[in-house]
Amino acid sequence: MCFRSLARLSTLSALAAVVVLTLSACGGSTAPSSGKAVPGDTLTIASSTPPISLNPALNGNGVPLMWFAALAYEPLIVRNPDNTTSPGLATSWKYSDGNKTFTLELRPGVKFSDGSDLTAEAVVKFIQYYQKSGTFAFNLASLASVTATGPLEVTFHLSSPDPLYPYYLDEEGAVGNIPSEAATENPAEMATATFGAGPYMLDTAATVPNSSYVYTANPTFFDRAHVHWKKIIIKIIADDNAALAALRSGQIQAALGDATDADAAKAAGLNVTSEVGGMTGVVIADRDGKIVPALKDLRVRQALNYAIDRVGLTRAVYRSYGSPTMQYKPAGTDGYVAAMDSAYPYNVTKAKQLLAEAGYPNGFTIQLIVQPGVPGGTLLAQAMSQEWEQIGVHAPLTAPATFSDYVAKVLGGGYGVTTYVYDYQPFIWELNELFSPTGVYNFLGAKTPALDALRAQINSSDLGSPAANALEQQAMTYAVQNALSVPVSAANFIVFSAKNIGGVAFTPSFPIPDPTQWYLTA
Amino acid sequence: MLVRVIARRVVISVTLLVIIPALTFVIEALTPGNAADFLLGVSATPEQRAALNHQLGLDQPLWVRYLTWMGRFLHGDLGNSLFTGEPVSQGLASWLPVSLSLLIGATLVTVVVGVAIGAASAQHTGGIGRLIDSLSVLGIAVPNFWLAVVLVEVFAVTFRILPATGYVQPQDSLIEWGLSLVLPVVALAFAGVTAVAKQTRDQMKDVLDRDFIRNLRANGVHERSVIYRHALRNASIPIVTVIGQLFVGALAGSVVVENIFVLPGLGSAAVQAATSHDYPVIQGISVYFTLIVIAVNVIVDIAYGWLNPQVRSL
Amino acid sequence: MSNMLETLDSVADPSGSSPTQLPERRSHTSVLRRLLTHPVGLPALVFLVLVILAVIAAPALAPYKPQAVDFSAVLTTPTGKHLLGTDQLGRDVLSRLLYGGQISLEGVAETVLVALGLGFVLGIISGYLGGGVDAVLSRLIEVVMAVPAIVILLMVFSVFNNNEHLAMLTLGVLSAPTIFRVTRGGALTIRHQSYIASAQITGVRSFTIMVRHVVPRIYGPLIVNTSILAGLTLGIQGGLNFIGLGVTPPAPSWGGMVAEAQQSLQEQPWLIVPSGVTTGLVILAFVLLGDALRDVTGERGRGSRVSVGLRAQPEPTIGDYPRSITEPTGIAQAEPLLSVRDLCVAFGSSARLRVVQDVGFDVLPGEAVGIVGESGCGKSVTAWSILGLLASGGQVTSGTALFDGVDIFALSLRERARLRGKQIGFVSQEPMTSLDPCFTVGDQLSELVRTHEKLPRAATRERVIELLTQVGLPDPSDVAKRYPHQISGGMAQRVSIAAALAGRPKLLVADEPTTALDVTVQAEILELLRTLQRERGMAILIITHDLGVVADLCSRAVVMYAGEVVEIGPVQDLVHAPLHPYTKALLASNPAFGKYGEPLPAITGTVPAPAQWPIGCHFADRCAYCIDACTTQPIPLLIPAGQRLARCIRTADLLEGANV
Repeated sequence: MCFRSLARLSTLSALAAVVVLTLSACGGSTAPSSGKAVPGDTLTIASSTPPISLNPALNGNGVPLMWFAALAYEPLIVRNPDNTTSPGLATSWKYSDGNKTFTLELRPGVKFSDGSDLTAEAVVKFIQYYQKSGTFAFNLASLASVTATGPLEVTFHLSSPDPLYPYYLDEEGAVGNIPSEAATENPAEMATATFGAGPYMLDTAATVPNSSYVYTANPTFFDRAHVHWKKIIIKIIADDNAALAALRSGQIQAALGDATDADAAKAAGLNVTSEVGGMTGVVIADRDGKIVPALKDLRVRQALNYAIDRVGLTRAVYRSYGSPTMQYKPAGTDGYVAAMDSAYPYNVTKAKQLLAEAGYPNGFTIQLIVQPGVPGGTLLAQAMSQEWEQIGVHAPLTAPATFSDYVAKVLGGGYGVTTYVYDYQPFIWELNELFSPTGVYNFLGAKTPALDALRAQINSSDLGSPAANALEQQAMTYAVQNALSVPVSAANFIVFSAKNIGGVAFTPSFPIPDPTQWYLTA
Repeated sequence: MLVRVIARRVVISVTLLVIIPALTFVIEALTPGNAADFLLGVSATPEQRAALNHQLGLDQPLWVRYLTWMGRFLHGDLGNSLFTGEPVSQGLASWLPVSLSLLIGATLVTVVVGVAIGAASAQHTGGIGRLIDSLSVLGIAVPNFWLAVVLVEVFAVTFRILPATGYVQPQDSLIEWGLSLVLPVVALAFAGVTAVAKQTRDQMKDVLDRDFIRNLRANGVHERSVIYRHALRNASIPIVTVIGQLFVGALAGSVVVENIFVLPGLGSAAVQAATSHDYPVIQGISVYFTLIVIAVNVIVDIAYGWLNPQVRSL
Repeated sequence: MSNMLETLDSVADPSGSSPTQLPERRSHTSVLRRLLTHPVGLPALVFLVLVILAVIAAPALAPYKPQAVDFSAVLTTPTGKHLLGTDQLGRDVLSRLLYGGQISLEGVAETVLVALGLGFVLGIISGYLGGGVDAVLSRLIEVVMAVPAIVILLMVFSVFNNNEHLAMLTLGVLSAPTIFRVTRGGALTIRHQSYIASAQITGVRSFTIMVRHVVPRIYGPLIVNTSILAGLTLGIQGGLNFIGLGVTPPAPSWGGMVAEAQQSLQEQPWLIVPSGVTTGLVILAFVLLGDALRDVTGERGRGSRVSVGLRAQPEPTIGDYPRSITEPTGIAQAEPLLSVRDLCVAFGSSARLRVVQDVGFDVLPGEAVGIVGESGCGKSVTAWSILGLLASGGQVTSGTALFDGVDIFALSLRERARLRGKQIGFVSQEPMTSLDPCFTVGDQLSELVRTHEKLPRAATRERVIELLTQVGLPDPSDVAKRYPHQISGGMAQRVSIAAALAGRPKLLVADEPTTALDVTVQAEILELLRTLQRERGMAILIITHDLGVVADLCSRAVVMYAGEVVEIGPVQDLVHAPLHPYTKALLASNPAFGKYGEPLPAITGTVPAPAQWPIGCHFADRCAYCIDACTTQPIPLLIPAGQRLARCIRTADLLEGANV
């Protein structure tokens, strides 16, 4: 069933935090309100989980966690729903030197909510602090050094090409949510108050930790026109039914929604906005067969793909808010290859045949671990496990309650297969994470030499260009045909919102509903 | 005699306050791996782990850690949460009023409604009596978590007259605070009300069989006074001890109820802490739970002693 | 919970003896048999057995594997293929309930077994060894009892990563105290019994003795507590599973299934029913079983229960009373203050069992009349029926009771209640239980005074002191401050009399007022009553089994036997020349007439119980003067001499001293 949120992350976890998705439908969304924006008084929205920390470096990412940072901390680079970028605290940026140097120019005249100025020094200090203590510090693995090369210019020197900095530094990547220099020097303070240059600030007096977080408009925000509310309150409502009830009664105006509630929400007169948020399925980390030798064999992995009734499973787990898939990116995004959508039609006989050919007519056992935060949660894992039973592959589940448990178990080396959500970011992100020998989700260090060359090329390319896209498509074809993993569904994000809330929009390329963009319609 | 009763309660309470934290330490020590592992992940270097262990004081022998903790506890310092870094006492201070609102509310409802129903029905052996007997069993049988879900579905979702979840602080709005507590209190109190009603009824029936009741009636005392002044007073003595047990039972139930209704009290914090292995928080909450139980037991003992003249006057 | 058998509350013993201390020990087989006929216990037991069997046989019974998914039938209501519907992955709810029951009930079993085992063993040890070991163990158990179990459980879950078994075992340990107490109580009682000592002498191992003797004594409360514990544990476990602790998916558990149902509540509300109802029903069954066990093992000993046969009783005679049966005093014949005629009182449903029949007597204003008879003759019932305070189940089936010319029995309940205290006062037998232990003497008397007279507070206080002085208490204001448990029996009885006088009644009904007091105090109380009668002109109706008391205080006596009046007359006449063989035998059996070295004089035979009343004279089978005519038809009250009455056809022979 829908797993609403990420459990607490350990601070120095070596694995990437998972983007938190909830379920939504491809073909069921109603058009979001697009009336004229008028100034609003208070916007109350619901989050299923309290922030891991109000300190932007220690919080998780994904929705709804990123809301707590996004409201108060303007990122360096603002990413729009259609995956274009806009200036945030940085006005321009570029790569050079084969994607080994990244420079950005800062916006002049910006003040943080504690009155101090935005300087290159402040940015550098925060990035350095993030490298040491930030949740996703491993994203900065390639960062050799970061310096202030001018009062408003910051330069990142990378030890190896990494084209993804515009993603790390956007509002969702979390690294770019810059606090004031003083706050960076006293990080403990950031756990209970905000020191950003964003459109809102936390009202510590009115905030009840773990219950409701109150943000008031920031009078010194550089883009006043985009501050749509006097106050934004994030209420913590962990239960779907409760959130829906609160929406219906008008206690709140927006919340992430669940597929099973979508019909009820529509019936209650709420807007239902839904787009593909990410692909879910299972990642086979044990491609070298260290734990389960069978997984080394291509035929075995293909059998695992053939054995899943993606249509039925998607319908059961995601209702009408998901669609079956066999590849790692949704249609309309980079790396997507239309032909791959018919790579593994449901065929139990063929699966059994392949297994027999590979020498496993009686199947085998794999240890499947369920990652907290993957949409569909244990339901997805239970469904896949049961499908594999049919071909004799026995897959008992382990479902750790918290992310740190998950990390400990996975790094302990006993698990070769894990549920996973494939992120929306450019495909190279996934390729690195899953198939680089040192990728964070390649926790058994499986080697895929055919992809290494492709990855190196993409890392040094101009990401987003047709050439880069072609390379990514090559990589996609290889990954799918070689059954490197088992993607299953394209699961949707859903947002329920009151009819008079506008600006609730996101796309598969950047499926991050962001309350700073929501406004009251006339 | 009252002094003796209280003295005894004090001894038990102090014992509890010493033992329960010690127990949490022992149980924690039995974990394979320790907090540092969870915080750093297995990939941390031995130096990093040693540093964190030292920082958290985890490299001391168990009894030293216990004594250190005890010393700090007596100064009001309960350490910091492993995950949020917040001082535990701060968290406890914000959780406690929520839980107390729920627990006291539920106990009050249980006692007042239960005793009223039980006393009023004590006279009737026919239909009403049997109804109460049946309802009391129903009260125990209906699982409180299931009842909570049904209550939310009916009152909050279908009829929308009460909030589904969430807690409003009384200083923000007294009415909203009350409304936010109605469903949780009902879910928690339901079993208790029926049990107290039955107990009261049983006790009242016992008392009403006694000689002095007959004599009071025989000498013309009004029936209302016989039941509500004399019989109830006598019957309430054993009921008071039942109330004490009820409260402790409500404590256990509150863990589940707080979770369902998303009340940020000790119960939901406890579950969170339990699933994320946040030991300082668990220890702090255990102590607070124990303190609450102790306070309730003291109150019950005092009430018992006050109500029962044979204890009071010696 | 009604009993199938007809029961009779302990009115058969009107002296109001308290129920036995220890529950009666009944044989095991009869307990089982009684359980199987218990209207609530049997269904509960059957249901539980069926559930347990079903759950054990889950692999055979369940139509599907608990994890088997079916994407084409997701979240359905009950259908032919899925009798209880399906969940979100199309898994069969019925199958998951059965398999989930294995886990849930297994946990319950673990908890209960640990609690039983640990509690029992420790209880035996504590009771057997006594002394220091007992003290330590008891304190330890007290501490364990005070521990909030939920705290420990959460810690266990957090540390041992959702290990359900460990949590259930821990819960068992935390639930052991109740079992410990029950066992220890039984063991301690046994320890002091003499047969243990004698068995020890014969060398049998004391410990085995202890166990062997303790178990039959305590198995009643033990199984009751076990059953209830099982129910409670299932509830706790369900709650914990519901919030995700203990049993993790995909393993089904009842609590977990409720949580899953909650997630899909909007789409398929039905889903919440099977899991919730199953859990509820099983808990209910455990608790009901516990209740039933409490019934059948006699745990509930509230007064002795006597089952009664349904044999028909002979119809009462219509007595033929003279209008006035008082002795001529020379004063113009006064109207009686109280005049009872043809009183019949019966108990049981539809008033089947008559315990008093055909009773009548008069009490003149200011006169002291005594109703005499042995236990079970119905004298107290008569008094209570006049007061309108019959125990539940009793009713006056016929007769009149004219008080001051008004038939009490014809009055409404409210009007009758107004009589009490104001016109008729009451003093009972047991002084120590006759006053409300929770209020001081002064408080209780004040309330009574204020009930009958609206006086301001100061005047009330004065009246209370006056009443206490009237009954001869030396330091009234001190007594007024005290609680009933702080005064002696004699003082308490005086206070009771004061309470009865508060409304200034015309008639005082005293039910065995001196029986529970020692001899010197008895005399004082009787003296007090006499004084009150004289000074206030109050009539006294005294119920007693002691002829000496009657002789001391009363001018006339009413002798009752087996529910009937057998003789009425002036005391002196009655004592010197009894008209009824029973009266004569009663006088003769007075221990005061006993001769040293000879067996005490007693009447042979026993009093017939109300269900066994013969058609003829109730005393016939014990009577020395009995002839055939005595047994063939009911004997009416006859007037053999002057103002005396006797229910006997042989009085003439009695008076002449002839024997049959």
